[in-house]
Amino acid sequence: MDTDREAAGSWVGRSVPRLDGGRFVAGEVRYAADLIPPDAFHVALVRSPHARARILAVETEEARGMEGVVAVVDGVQAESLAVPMPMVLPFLGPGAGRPILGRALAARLVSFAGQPVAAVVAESPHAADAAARRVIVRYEALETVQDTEAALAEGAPVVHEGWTSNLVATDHVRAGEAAAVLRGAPHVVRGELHLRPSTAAPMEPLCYIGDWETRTGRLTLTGTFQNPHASRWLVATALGLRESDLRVVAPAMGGTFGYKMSGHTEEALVGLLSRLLGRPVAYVESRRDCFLGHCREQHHRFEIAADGEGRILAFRDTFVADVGTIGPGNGWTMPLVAATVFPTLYDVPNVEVSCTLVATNKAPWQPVRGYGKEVANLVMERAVDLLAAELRLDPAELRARNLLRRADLPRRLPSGLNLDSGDYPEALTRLKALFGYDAWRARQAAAADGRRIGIGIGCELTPEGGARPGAFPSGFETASIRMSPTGDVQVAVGVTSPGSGNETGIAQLVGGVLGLTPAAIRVVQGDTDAVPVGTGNASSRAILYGGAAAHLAAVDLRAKLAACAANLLQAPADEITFAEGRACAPSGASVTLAALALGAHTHPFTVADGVELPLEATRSYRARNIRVTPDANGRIATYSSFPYSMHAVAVELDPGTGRVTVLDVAAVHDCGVMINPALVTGQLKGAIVMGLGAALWEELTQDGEGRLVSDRFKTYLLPRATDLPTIRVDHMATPSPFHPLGMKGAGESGLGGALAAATNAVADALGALSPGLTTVPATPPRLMALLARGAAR
Amino acid sequence: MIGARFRFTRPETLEEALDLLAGAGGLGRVIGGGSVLVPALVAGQDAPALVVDIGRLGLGSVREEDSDVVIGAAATYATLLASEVVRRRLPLLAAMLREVTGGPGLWNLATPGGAACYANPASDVPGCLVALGAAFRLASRRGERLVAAENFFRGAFETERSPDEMLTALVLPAPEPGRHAYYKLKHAASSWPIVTASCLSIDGRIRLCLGAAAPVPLLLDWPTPSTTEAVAAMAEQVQAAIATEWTDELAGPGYRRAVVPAVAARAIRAVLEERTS
Repeated sequence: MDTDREAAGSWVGRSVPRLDGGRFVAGEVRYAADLIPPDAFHVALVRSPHARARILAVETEEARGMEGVVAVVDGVQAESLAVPMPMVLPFLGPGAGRPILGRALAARLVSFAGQPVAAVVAESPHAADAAARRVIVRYEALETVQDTEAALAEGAPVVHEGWTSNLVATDHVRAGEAAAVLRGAPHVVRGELHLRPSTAAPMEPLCYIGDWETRTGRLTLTGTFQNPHASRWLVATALGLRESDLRVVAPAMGGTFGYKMSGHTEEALVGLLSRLLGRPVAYVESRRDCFLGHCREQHHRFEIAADGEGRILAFRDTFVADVGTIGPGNGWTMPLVAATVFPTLYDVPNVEVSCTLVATNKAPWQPVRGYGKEVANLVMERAVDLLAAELRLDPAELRARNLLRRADLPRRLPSGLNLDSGDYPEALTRLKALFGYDAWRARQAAAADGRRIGIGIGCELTPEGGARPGAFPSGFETASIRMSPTGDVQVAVGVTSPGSGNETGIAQLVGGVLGLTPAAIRVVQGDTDAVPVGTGNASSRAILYGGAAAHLAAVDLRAKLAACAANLLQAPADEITFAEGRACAPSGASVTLAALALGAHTHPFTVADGVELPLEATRSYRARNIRVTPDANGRIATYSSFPYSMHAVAVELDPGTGRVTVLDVAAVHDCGVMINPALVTGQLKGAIVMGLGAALWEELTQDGEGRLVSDRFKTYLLPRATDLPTIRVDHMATPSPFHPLGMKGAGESGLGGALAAATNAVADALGALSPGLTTVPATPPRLMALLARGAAR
Repeated sequence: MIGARFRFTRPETLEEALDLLAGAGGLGRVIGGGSVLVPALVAGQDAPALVVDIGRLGLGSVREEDSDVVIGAAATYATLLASEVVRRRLPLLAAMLREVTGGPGLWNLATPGGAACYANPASDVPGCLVALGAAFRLASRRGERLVAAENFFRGAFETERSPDEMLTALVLPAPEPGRHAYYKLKHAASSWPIVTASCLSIDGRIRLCLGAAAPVPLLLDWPTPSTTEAVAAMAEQVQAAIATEWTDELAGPGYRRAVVPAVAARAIRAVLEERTS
């Protein structure tokens, strides 16, 4: 049966146009906020202006009396209506069981500026918004902690009630003897990087609609749910519902990038309010509030050592991440993931990584594409570039000398993750050709006086298929396939689409198995009443896990159909082939799948003789290359797959203004077998744009009191099309030996490599001033200050 | 989402509009395209009692009047971008208009008149109008007056216009003299202007108006320089002329001052090197 994958009818590797693309282009897609019922009430949240304060009183009389206002609920009342949402990833280790901010409305203590303290429910969004401004909350402002140093200082206020300190978690990853080697190595370079906070900034902010049906005692939640089943669990727990009395529906989403993973307390709030009021209740997040979802703020200090031939001997990184407050979501775990990715694609015998996660009076981190891996790649690539400068070696050459070779794989990282396959040196060689690396270096050398052209490389390793024990996301995905009596095929999977088009890829896999076109396959996602339990969208798992499960289910269905066709066509079942909608016998006799399906349902004793009806199959795919037994260092392996990519960026730095113009971008990417290269390319380019944005422009800013300053797209600058050149990409496809279809996962990778390459390009343009480039993003004011310091010297 | 309630009117005549404004005291607002006022209302940053829409007052046209071009207060960016009169007689203004970002959604609604009255230092319009020697026609029940651009901008978000006055037109002397250049520095396509330079060559002299660097546009004037060193010296003078630097979320203290010489020199060089067309 394996050969069928490669048969002419297979759709694997073909850039089938998105099956639902026309609906998006025509504006026919209905997003969550389009689905708010006409009789719904609307919620506006009253948010704290203080980063830490005691709530003395919530005065709601005036708001309650306003036109259209239905109810005003404060934190104390909400406490009587629900219990806190639990965590998606329960704390492990010494902090286990510590309380988190699991309630939608603070009752006594606010712990970050922007935290909701009351919910106003009204007949229109306008009325709710107007009334929310009239709720008077009296606070006693308390001392806050706004950075990690203050948070860890002796006697610092403790951010979370019931904790004894602000230390959230630590991890240490070790291989060899980094400290000793760093002491004695011929070349040692030190550096540091401050990452300023940034965010996912999806086009569509959050939207949740709760619809409590009093008659049946069931709640339906419709909204921006990347992980519908995880949200069902969290919300059911908070509201004391049986999970089967809660249906979570995720319609099309306008981008997620991690931001819509489960754990937003508003998910439970709309359910609570709908149950209280007996009407649908909708919450639509404002753009401003969407910007509360920060992440990435951390400070790295690193050292890298090499011998005289440019062999990397040791790498050490110590970093502290400011993860804000801890809520139900798992954004705060991203620095723990970052620590596991070192030393990325390089052969480094001695490694030591220590990370410390610290709570401060800031909003909880929200997940973002890259999930910490982009940060590890950035730090590693900056270290390698600084080393190249020390050794007076071309940065590409230094990388070529140290990348793991094809024959080195599989290879276990110090963190326990097991690299699967690839040809890293070949990818770098191809990148240099695609980018025209030598030509760019020549152009740089020939640039006129005063022009500062910079060229940067970024090599990226992105572990995918996250399957951390004790957590949802988890290491399996399930698909149910069914063929109706007319031969219509529907496959329901536990993965969701963030708008990436993975439905088309799943349809290609199923269509290829059954000899049908992708358009003939109906893919059902994002409805906990209609699909098998699953993780949803995370860690590039849609095709990697969901596609693999759908493939398995389709193979089982095909076996049933082959048995039916064998009965009908009088041929051995294992000689039946499927193509162009027909089951064919070696004799040349054939039958359409529609006729076969009808025959099986209407003639079970003949056509379906020996076949277990109905024509359905449910199969689960469980990731391989995951290891839950600790190794000698006590490490497990929580990622199954390792796509990688090589990036090059050319920039020009304007010495008069500090402004950076991106001149050229190229990348070579390998995610193993690709189902739909056009969709992979689209995702890759999107990730590269996010990486360039994070390197050069995207930064969340706050005032000294922890209040958000960058609250719109005029103050949080995303790259626009005119800011960027054409992005040139090429793919390699080294199959994973640990995946039945050779896939490694696509969708997330590309961010960290572009972030690193752009940062390195800016550093290259700074020349001798480059060690001063320690803050990301490299904004014009930061670069201007560096240039001015250089001129003053 | 606009939470606050207010009275919205769209009067048919200027008299009616001015009566309404006079009656509203400081709580009246004039709305053109709404690109400033509507977001402010949504964010709850403004709470007017009355909003007067000028869409029916016939102020949306561009006319040539003797040696002037008169731009109605309700004329949109799109109207001006499409205007043959602007293209032919006001090339510096046309160059500035082409640099305004926001896309058709903004160009079709927003008005340079509104941008001038908003007087955001970090915007395109004020500096360009000062460079062009524009005058602002202000009407109220008390009568009409014409205010020169140099006197119109009094501070950040502060103009000579009184709450009971309405801008009816921008009056620009035309044709623009000599050669021109508009140079705008911004961090990225989506960023607002960080520093703008509107530069004109007039009768052997160079006139440069620096926008966004200080709370109000800064106008300077020199004999046409003949050497590179002279241009550099002029650029340094521009920097020295900034008494109070404008700072905002995208450019904190020191940045605008640091980049002004480069921006000024580029605009001046562009005018000197531009071929007469």
